Amino acid sequence: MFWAIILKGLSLAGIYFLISFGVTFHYGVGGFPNLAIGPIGATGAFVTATFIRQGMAVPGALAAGLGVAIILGILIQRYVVEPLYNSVGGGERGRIFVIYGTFGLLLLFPAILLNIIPSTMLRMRLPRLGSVEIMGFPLGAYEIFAIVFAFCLLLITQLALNRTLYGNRVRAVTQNPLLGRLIGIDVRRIYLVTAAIASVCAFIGAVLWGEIFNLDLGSGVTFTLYGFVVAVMGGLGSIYGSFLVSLFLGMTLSATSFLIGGVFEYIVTTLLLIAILLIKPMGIVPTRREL
Amino acid sequence: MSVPVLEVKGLNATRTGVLVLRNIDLRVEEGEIVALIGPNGAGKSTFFGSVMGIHRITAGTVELRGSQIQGLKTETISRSISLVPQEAAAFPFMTIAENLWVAKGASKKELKQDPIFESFPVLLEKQDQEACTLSGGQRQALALGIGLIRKTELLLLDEPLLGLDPIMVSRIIETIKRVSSEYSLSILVSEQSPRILEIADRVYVIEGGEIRMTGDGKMLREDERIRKVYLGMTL
Repeated sequence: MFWAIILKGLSLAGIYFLISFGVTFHYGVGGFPNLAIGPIGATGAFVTATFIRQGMAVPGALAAGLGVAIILGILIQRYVVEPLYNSVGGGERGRIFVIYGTFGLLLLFPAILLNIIPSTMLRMRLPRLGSVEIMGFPLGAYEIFAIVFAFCLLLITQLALNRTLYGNRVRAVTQNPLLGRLIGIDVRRIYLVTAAIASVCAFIGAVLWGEIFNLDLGSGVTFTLYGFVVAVMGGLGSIYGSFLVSLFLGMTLSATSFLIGGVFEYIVTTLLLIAILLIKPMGIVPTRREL
Repeated sequence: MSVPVLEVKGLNATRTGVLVLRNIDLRVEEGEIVALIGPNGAGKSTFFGSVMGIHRITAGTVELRGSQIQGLKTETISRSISLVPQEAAAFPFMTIAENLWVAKGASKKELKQDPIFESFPVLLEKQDQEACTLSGGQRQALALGIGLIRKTELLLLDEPLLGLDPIMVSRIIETIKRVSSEYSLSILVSEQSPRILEIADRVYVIEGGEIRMTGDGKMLREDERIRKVYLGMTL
């Protein structure tokens, strides 16, 4: 039972982290609370699932879905987020404008998908890779992938942000975008690259979600909601904080489901998350963005 | 006569849609320290922002060694001109070494060999300390370091003496003079403090978004009217 709770909790944590990573990374770097990240990932996953259904080879379908997610992420950043943010001279007002604009997109995406994708519910149907028995508990290959990928993502982003010149430039832009421009950093390109990375992670999270659970028209909204819950609890913009909250969320959901039944898992989890916010209103790892 | 490092002619510029600068003419020659002095709200920071492509230029030209640069992106202009802004002149939650690394844009090995650490020993001594934990003088040294490490042709300093105590003011003035000769650098420095006249080769007095007077540093130092009207204090 103990290992079952731990392993199931880890795989859930991996998926929640992947879904919330897009929100956290986008906010952490640009300060843009982009609510459309969930639908961007979900749309890519829908495209992949549809193409697989129509007989396309899985790698091709994954590439097509990934391409759609990246293009959508870049277009929304370039033609929605940036103009909205700059229209009021940036700052807190700019962020509120971005929230309004991307909230509109969040509502618009399911309606658009309904007209393009013939089915309202899809299963990803990736190739069967079987499962591995760990301490007597069978864990699916994609659940293992979610765990491993989440850990790798955390490790790679922390190393890249702290050890590479480009990563340090990203950190610099987060803290002082004007000075970034004054020392020759192409701040706009960094924002676009950030949007693309956030979209890739949202897409991978959505594909795994679609494989382990199901995708429906509201999945994008669900991803954004989960993403923001995790991101806010972790401390908006803190990747490490998101990781810790994802772990907590995954473990709590898993433990509640095994110990007192699946009906109570979201009630208990929500109560615990409210408790965290009451104790640490700025999140588990509060971020420092400005002087 | 050689081509000036910076030559601004008939510049009009707006800030958030409001016309702030009118018909500005200004020149910085090779190796000169030029001061732009004037009270708060005179348009000094807007002038620097216009040169750097941050604020919109509505008329006139800005030339760097004879080539027009108005209309270029800030990122492009910053390859040739460094602006050390009045506030937030560092990345607060990065160490001194990380700030300088990002500004230099080269390998860490090249950073270690940079002469900036000889010019400002405090930057070497505190290299692992976050910028937000530094004192006012140390922060100003880091801001100058970020401006100098990219070895541009022109350095713009926006009120580098603001908020510093008299001892630190003297140190920074001495530092500006020293780096000008060490780096063979042309410097344009804006200030409210008359102390800047001590090192300025030439001075422009700006008020209400217009250049009111120009002359060499010595002449303006001795001009009673400048001291009273534009600087509001005695030297």
